[in-house]
Amino acid sequence: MNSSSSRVRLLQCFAFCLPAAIIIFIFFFVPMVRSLQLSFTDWDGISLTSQWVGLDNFRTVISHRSFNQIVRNTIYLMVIYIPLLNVFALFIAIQIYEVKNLGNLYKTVFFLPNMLSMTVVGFIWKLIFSFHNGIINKFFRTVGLNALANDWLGDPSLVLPSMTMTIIWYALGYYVLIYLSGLYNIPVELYEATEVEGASSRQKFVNVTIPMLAPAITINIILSTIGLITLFDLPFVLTGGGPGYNSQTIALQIYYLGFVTLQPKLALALAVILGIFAILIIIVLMKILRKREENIL
Amino acid sequence: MKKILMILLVLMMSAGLLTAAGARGAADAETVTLSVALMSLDIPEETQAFLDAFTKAYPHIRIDYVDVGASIEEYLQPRAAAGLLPDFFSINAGSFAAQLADRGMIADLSDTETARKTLPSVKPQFTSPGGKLYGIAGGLASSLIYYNVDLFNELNVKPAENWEEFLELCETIKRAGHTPIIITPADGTISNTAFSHGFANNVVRNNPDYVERIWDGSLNFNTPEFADVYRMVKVLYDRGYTQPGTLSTEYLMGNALFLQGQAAMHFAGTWLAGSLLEADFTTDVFMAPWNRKGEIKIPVVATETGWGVAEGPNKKEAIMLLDWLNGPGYTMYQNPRANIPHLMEVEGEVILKPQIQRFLDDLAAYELAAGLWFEYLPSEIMPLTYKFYQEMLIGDITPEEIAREFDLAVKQAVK
Repeated sequence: MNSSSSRVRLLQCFAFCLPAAIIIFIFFFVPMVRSLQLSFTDWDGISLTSQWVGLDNFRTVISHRSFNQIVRNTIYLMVIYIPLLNVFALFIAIQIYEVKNLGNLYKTVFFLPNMLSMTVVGFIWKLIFSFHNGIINKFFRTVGLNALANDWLGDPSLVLPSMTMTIIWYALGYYVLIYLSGLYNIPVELYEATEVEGASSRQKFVNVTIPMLAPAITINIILSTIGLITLFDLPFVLTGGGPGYNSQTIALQIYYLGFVTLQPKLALALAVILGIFAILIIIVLMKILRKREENIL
Repeated sequence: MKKILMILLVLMMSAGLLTAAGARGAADAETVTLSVALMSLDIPEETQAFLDAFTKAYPHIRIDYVDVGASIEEYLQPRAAAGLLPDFFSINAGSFAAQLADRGMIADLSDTETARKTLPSVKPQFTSPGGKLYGIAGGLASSLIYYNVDLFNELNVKPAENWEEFLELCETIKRAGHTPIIITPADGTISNTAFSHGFANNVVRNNPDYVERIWDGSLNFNTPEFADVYRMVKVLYDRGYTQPGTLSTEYLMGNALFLQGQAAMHFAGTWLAGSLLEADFTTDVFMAPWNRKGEIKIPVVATETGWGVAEGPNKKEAIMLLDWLNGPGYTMYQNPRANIPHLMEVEGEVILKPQIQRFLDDLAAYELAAGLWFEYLPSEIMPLTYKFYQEMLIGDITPEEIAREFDLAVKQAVK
């Protein structure tokens, strides 16, 4: 290929990328830079002007009593939700893979909640968890186990587990599909070879399935982490972040500061913190998981 | 010849399309679509009905209506920032709306027919520092204790006159195996009830100039009296006088529980008189006895959430809706709620429950009254009021710590 045709090809590439690049520039890059800039000012959310205040907004956000609680909630959800979701999803994916005949039916059933919006899911589970009329408490009361009828969304020790369960119910099908596509890509010959060598089911799972699923595991862990760090709509509908700040996520707190207490300068500062936090977490996870993938493969 | 025919055909089609587009443009010029955002949680069907009736009366005005849920400010703030306020919207008296009015985003309604008919006493709350009447109150409002008269008669108890008597009343009801009172700390509505009455009786009593003092930063919230605004609810909760599942009980659920007869009393707004006084059992109201023994009560009376109009191309039509709602359509809005009217002249027969009329008559005996929380607190502080209740009830913070933090937050907000 001569230099002029390669230049034309390069121009073509640019031309094809340009519409997407313009959209990304206008709707992602400009707001991001503007948010960063405004997070160092006293902007009130309406005025066209603002004054530089340095790191004041960041100090206010971090020193607020709720900040520690919100970070704790995020860590709790990461530690509980991500492993649980991935273990369940992998387990179900393997069951569906092995069932074969009814596989499509199961895939549809598990994916169904994912077709609903998170807001709808929030309302459904709010009714299910309701202390007074919820189906869970009604069941316990009907069978005479009144002590188990709890205030699922009002008790600080139960609200995060309840929320975790709801997110898993919602997200499971999506992650199952990713694991299933990974499973279908594993060459059958590998299993046959291990069978010839007399490997048990457990050995096949540990030495073939898991290593071959490494890329799917990486994708699922990264996706579930991003989903969790930016989780907003479910706690917004389900609990409003309460009781107190016991189910408040960082994304919800950004909304709360920006549109409820009408302090957009603080919301932007927290959004910047969230952005940095998310990037760091993803970089660390990517490094660990990629290294693991390389070791396996 | 074929070519000429084709050209003629294309020209005819183009002309036809242009004519159609022009005709549609002319039709669009006559029809106006009003964006309407109303807080209609209590009366969703009635709201739709009066908007439909308005459209019927003015067929050239279409309504694009949205229910804003429980928080108006939350709905309006991002739209104000983007310069996209709805044409006609619900609005609370307070600093947020006043700020928008003085920035030229909300229309001055002083010269409207509705303003002329509105009681002069409910105009100052909706007047901005710049002198604009940025909203018309949707009524006068207070919060009262609704109670189950049949149950009170059965237990041989009567409404309490002060806090100490109220605790005794709750204890008697609890001992009889009933839930004494419903409170709703899961959303902001507890601020309409326990906070506003606690603030009136604990703070306003000794600071009648509280509004000015809040805004010049001289009112001290870090006091035992203000801590009591929160402690009083903690006492009710800790003694088991509130409903099971208190912490997750929201506004609508609280109303439903009372109507189902699941508690003897319910602390709620007068705007619910139309439904709560129509229960399957006999109901009545009494003024919240948040006063100590030997003290007279400080009643709470305020403007109710009202209506505002955006400065924009559809201002004229939005004012038509305002005037219609406060004119021929008023009874459609007022009667299902049976709240206290804000108008001096009313078209049609207005329903006002005798229990609420009695409360209004009693008010004349009081020299001092306080507003509802949203009328005097800076907008940044408003959401803190109920979050603090939640945090206190789960043991994350004490009333004294709330008083300290509240003081700091208010001083920071008004600085």
